[in-house]
Amino acid sequence: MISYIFSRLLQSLLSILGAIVIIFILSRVLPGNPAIAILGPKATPENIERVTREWGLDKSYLEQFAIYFSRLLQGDLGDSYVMGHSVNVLIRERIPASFELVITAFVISSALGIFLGILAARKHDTRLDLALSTFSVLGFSFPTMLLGIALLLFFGLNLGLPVGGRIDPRYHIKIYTGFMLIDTLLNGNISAFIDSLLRILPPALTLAIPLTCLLIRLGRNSMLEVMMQEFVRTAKMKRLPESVIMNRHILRNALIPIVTVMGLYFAVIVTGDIIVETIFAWPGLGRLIWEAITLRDYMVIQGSILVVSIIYIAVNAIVDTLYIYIDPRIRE
Amino acid sequence: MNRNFENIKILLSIKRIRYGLSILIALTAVATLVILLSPFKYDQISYNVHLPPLAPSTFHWPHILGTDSLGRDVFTRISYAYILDVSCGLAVIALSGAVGLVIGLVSGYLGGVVDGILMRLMDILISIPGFMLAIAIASVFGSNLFNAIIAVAIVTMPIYARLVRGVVLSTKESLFVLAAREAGLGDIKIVTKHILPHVMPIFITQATMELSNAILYIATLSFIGLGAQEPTPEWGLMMSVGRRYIREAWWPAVFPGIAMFLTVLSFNLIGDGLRDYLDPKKRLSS
Amino acid sequence: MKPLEVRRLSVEYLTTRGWIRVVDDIDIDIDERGEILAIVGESGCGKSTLGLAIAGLLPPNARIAGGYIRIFGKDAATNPVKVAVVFQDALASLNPLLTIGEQIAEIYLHHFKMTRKEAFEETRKRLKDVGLPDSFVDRYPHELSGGQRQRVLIAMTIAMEPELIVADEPTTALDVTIQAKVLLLLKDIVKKRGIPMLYITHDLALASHIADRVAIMYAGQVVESSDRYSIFREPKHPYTRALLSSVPRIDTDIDELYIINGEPPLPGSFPKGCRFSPRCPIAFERCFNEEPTLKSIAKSYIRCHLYE
Repeated sequence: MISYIFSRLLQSLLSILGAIVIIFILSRVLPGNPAIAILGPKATPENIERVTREWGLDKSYLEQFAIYFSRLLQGDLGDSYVMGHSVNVLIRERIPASFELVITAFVISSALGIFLGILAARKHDTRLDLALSTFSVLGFSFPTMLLGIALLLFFGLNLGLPVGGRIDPRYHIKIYTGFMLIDTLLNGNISAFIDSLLRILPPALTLAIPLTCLLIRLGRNSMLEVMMQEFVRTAKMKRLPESVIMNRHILRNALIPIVTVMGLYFAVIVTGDIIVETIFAWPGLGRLIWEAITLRDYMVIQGSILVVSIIYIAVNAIVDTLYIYIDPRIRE
Repeated sequence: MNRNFENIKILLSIKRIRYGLSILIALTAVATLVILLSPFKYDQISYNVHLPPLAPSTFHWPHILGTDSLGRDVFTRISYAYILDVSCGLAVIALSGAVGLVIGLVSGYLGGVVDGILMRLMDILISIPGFMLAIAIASVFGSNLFNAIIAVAIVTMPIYARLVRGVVLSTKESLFVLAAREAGLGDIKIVTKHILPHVMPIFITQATMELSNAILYIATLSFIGLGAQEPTPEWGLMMSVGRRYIREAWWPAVFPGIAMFLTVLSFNLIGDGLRDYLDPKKRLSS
Repeated sequence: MKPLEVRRLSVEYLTTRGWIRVVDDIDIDIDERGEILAIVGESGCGKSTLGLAIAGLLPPNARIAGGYIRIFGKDAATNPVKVAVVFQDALASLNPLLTIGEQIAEIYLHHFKMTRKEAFEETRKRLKDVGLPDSFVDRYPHELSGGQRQRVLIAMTIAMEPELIVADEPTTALDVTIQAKVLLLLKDIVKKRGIPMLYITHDLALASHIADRVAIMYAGQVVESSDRYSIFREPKHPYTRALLSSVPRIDTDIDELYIINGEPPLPGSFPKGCRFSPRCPIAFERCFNEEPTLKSIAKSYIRCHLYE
């Protein structure tokens, strides 16, 4: 087990290295002078000189990579001349918002998806099962862009609820955790809490619905397969209570293929997050990327992509380790 | 020949494939008709901005789905976008599929060092989540549809490589391949005549499902500004522009989305049906 | 009260062609505690289905289409009777994610409502009963050998304190040397604790080592049933005779091994008349037209026109 964690860690580090190399290559493959691209509208001759010196743009590619890599190791993602802050600062102030959104969506979709998946398996081949299966196929094919816009319209125009942003800017909330839902409660401001709850709901739902559909399909099929296994018959023979058979024997085994899919899950969330944050003006990392694209701010684009990639690699490593922990058969 | 007709008949009996195919045919028919018969051009700007659906126009046809922020007919633009987006999707899977197929075949068949190197390269490519990599590539090379297609093709190529390689590995050691090698058949002949037929069904199924992914990728990239540019009629771009004026008019943003949804749905259904068809367990509930 | 009384039992499976009868009008008895009744037959004769029906573990696509099962006088369909089953595939019958200890202890935890400490204490005793070391409590099923897994299943059956044990070909998947050990273990446990056992097998020779009574099944029916001496010394049914002659023996010289021609009929396509008639070397006209009924002769039952 320990040796596996080590090798998996090594694998992750190599992946991170690979991501760094790709991003570096892309940043230098730009048509034209990279310094001009980095500076954008602020491309004065002095600035160009400064940036060239800073990143060693007149030296060989290997030396440039060394500079890039060493700055990276110090946690320095460079400075955005276009937006006027260091990339670190920009990313750091946006991450909590994305975090809150993603976690909320994850919780909603996991709870709903697994519950409905089990329901569909229990009532398989009935009309309810067919309805759920149809819904899950439709929901998964529904483009996030359309879903987001539709929910924006529904919540904002039809229901007249507040949408866009995390909270009404007129509230003054002291930040403790960076999670608006928690901080508003910690501030004792109930109306602010409700406001932030209403604003996080549409984007979270937009993210959650495709994932829920994925989970319903997966959960249902996995459950059905497990229910047909012989050890379930053994559990019935032992006259164990229904709840024990369901939880200890069926669910635990059915969850395994779901856990293995979690890595893919995360990639879907990442893709959807950028769209959702753009549509709902959610001040997170995704929206930062969109702003950077609009402003042609390469430093921010690259820095953000690197950060997201590292998180992605870490999540995959954790999921794989979790999988080994759950399934003793794999531990060789 | 007869066997192919048999297979097609069986495929058509699968509900999902029937539904998907019918939606696809309906969409293609409507789009073609609109393109041929519409009195409006896709880039025809006018003063009739944000007219609601079914609003009358200066021509003999009303604006069936309304007009957008530049007074252009939405229905016409959506139909052109259908042709454009599906073509882009096909271009993506043709590109990534072809390259992925070759890499998978070579890697799986030759094994050894070649396999090791190629798979390492694939691993590096997938260390970055697909969409992020597409953004990285597209933002570096300039925002246009062509670069977007290349970017998405690069990002999705490893999927095919892995898939094909897997099939090659499992068929490589099979009896008829060994027999062919004994008989002195050249490598290329072995691959094309004996291994490829086993690869194709899974490959085609994957490609069909990837087609809807490709269309979504292109549209999403355009949505955030990295793909199609104005005045190109492209779904993602139309939705992005439409979103900005969503309070005045919802139809320029919503209808392209619905068209995209139906298209993606039809390809997903077909791909799903194909996958069930090929599944050796032949699931009874469809 | 008799440990087991089965009368006119029929079991059907739902297939794409409708309900098909797999067990047809069966009568069997176990008269005393600690008695072992062996059900012997080829694959597809319905013996496993019979075992599952008696244990109350039929799958959802099967139904009891007639007759009754009484265990110690209680009707198994309406009463909670404890029947333990030792399955053939021990690896598939054990939950791969739980330790051996947990899978045995849960019987004590949930069925007998013991504390965790007590449950595991009893679990260790059961492991000892089947000859497995204490340390196996923390092992996972995939870490054990086939024979060891089978012993775990047996330990589970003891833990249940069942009223009846059904053993469904528990040794078929094992090496011959291990087979004997497991078989003797089962017999020992059953005899010591006085639990009646239904032993299902296709191997008549195996049955001879363990059974007190033997019932031969063919195509969903019992064709002969008797005590072990009568079955082996004076086999009456042509099928029984054929089964016995087809087993190689060390103690006598045989010039030719007798092989039964053909295959047993599949459920749903049973022939007219006696179901064995197409393969029976001494079948006569009546056999092809009229189905023989089960008749009792002394303490045996026989279904054959020769004996009417």
